[in-house]
Amino acid sequence: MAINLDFLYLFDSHQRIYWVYLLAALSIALIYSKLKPETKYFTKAIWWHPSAQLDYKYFILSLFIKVLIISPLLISVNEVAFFVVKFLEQNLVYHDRLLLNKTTIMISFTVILFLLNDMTRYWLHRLMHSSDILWRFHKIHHSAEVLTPLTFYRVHPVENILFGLRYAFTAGVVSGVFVYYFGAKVSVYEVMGVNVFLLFFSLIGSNLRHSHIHLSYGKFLEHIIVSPAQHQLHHSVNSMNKNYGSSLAIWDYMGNSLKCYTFEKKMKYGLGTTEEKVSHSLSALLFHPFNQK
Amino acid sequence: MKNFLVTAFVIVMTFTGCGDNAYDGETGLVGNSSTIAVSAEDTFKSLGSTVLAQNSSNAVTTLKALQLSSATLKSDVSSANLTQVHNDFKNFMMAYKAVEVTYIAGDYESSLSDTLRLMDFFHNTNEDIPGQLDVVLESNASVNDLMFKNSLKSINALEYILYNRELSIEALLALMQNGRLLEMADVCISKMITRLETIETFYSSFVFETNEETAKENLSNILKDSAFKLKEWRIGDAAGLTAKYKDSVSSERLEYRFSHLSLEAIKSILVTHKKVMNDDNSNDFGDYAAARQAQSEVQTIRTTIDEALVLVESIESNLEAKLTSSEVETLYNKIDVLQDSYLGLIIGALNVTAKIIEADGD
Repeated sequence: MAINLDFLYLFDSHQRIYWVYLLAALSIALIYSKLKPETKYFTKAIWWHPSAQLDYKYFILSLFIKVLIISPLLISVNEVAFFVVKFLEQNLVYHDRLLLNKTTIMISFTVILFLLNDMTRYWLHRLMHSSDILWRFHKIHHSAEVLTPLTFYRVHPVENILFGLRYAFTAGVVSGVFVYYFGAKVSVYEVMGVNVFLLFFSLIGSNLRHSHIHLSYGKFLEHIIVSPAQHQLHHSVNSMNKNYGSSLAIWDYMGNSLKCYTFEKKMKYGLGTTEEKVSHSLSALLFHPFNQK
Repeated sequence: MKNFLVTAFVIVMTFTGCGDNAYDGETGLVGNSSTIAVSAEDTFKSLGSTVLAQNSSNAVTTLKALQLSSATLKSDVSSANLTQVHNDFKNFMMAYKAVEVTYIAGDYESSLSDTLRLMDFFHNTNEDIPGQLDVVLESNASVNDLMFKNSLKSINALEYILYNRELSIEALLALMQNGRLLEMADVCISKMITRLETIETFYSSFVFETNEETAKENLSNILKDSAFKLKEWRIGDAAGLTAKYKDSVSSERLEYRFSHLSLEAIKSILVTHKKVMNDDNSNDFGDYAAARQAQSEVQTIRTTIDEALVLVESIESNLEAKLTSSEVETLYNKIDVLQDSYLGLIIGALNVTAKIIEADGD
């Protein structure tokens, strides 16, 4: 049996914690700390907090859950794309392939895929908050009381499946439609083997989204791109229902859920006092949604 | 905690050794040619000479042979000469089909993108070509002037001129006596020779192996397209197997309905697919793709082509007589598998495979 484990994340450029992206985030964090000496990020209180320790343990556990349980369950992008092409071929009038040059096709495909992927990510994330049942699973992610890059992976397997399916359908439909019109000339625009958008957002500090570095892009840009500080607001007890976006803030703007960053002396992360606590254990992260009253 | 992390790290490293990080676990045409045994350069060079150039050259040669036999028939209208013309038309049609299956010249040279479309109007027009040709035949005006439209100088027009099955052979020969019908045939043939020679000239100096990516994409596209048209247009529509003509069988929808050569056309298409995907004598596109992790698709394609060819050979009469048979339905289903496998090659090569990052939160 061929087991495909693309999960040595530090050396996989498609992963959030690829060493280059971590290095970029670290560089930004160091410059930020230099400019704002009051920032106390590299402290034991954050990095060895029971919540952070749980993130580390859960990260390892989730690798196995994803590879051994989730991946086999997920429908692939290719399967969805295949179905879409066949459906279009059988239901639309035949036309010859559109003869556009490869660069135009590649750029169009990459931009459309990025936009739709980011939009569906926004809406599913928002649904995870607004649906009582889904919130049970998503609150595992929000139960983190300190933020580290590995908090990104503190996601319940059910949520992993939902986000995986969302991507398969979004990318599958976009790919299928493009393959129907352009055939084998469809591909994502990559730089150094990585989707150009993933590379861009990773280099400007995706890893700082889950950190205590309150890097803001300013009010104007924060209407377009989600800054790390905006995502930290989303993790704060007081603004959990704001800033659902991943890369682009335009969805929050259109959905009336945008909140630009303004300085808060003490931002408190976690579930707050109104929500039932999730205890700091692996079993709690996995089983809390099912035990909740 | 420390022990947990060390143990987990060792396990992760162990499992990582089992994985193939260059590939997503599904089949498809991917891979870096510099590290693969079947050379892209050899493959595309061979396909360029033994398929593209060779087939276009054959088409010109067979069409010129038809021009010659048509001229002979014009000077001596006889049953034997008509039979020779029909044989030559069949040879040309099959050679032309081989060109059509891998027609990628238009992807490289925009002036050639419509060349085949201008000489083949199957599924490409709503015009009544036979009706217009009958008008030309009955007129006294110059044939050249009346046949100014491309559709009237196409292979479809030529087939009608040479075969019109509404007429008996005797009646057709009688009609050919005054020379006008064969003059019309010559207009078609001359125009098609010009078009095919343009293609032949292009392929004779074409270096297919210059850009591997482009070559791979263009070939994958045209093969998938060919399989689709073979299934839907050349078999399904007539046999009432497509969504559009479900349960409505009509030989009128066959490609070569006047000459009853539709089965031969299908055979020629399949033989060309086999030549491209499974050539015993040189590196073919199947070898190339199989060496780039598309083994399962290539295996299916090769098996399906062979099985489809056996089915075609097993149909003893012409396709018109067998449209409702189980053989034709099986053939349709085989070509569906062929089309799916080509689509699998294309989709497998997409670089949008879900990375686990897409299953993670934010």
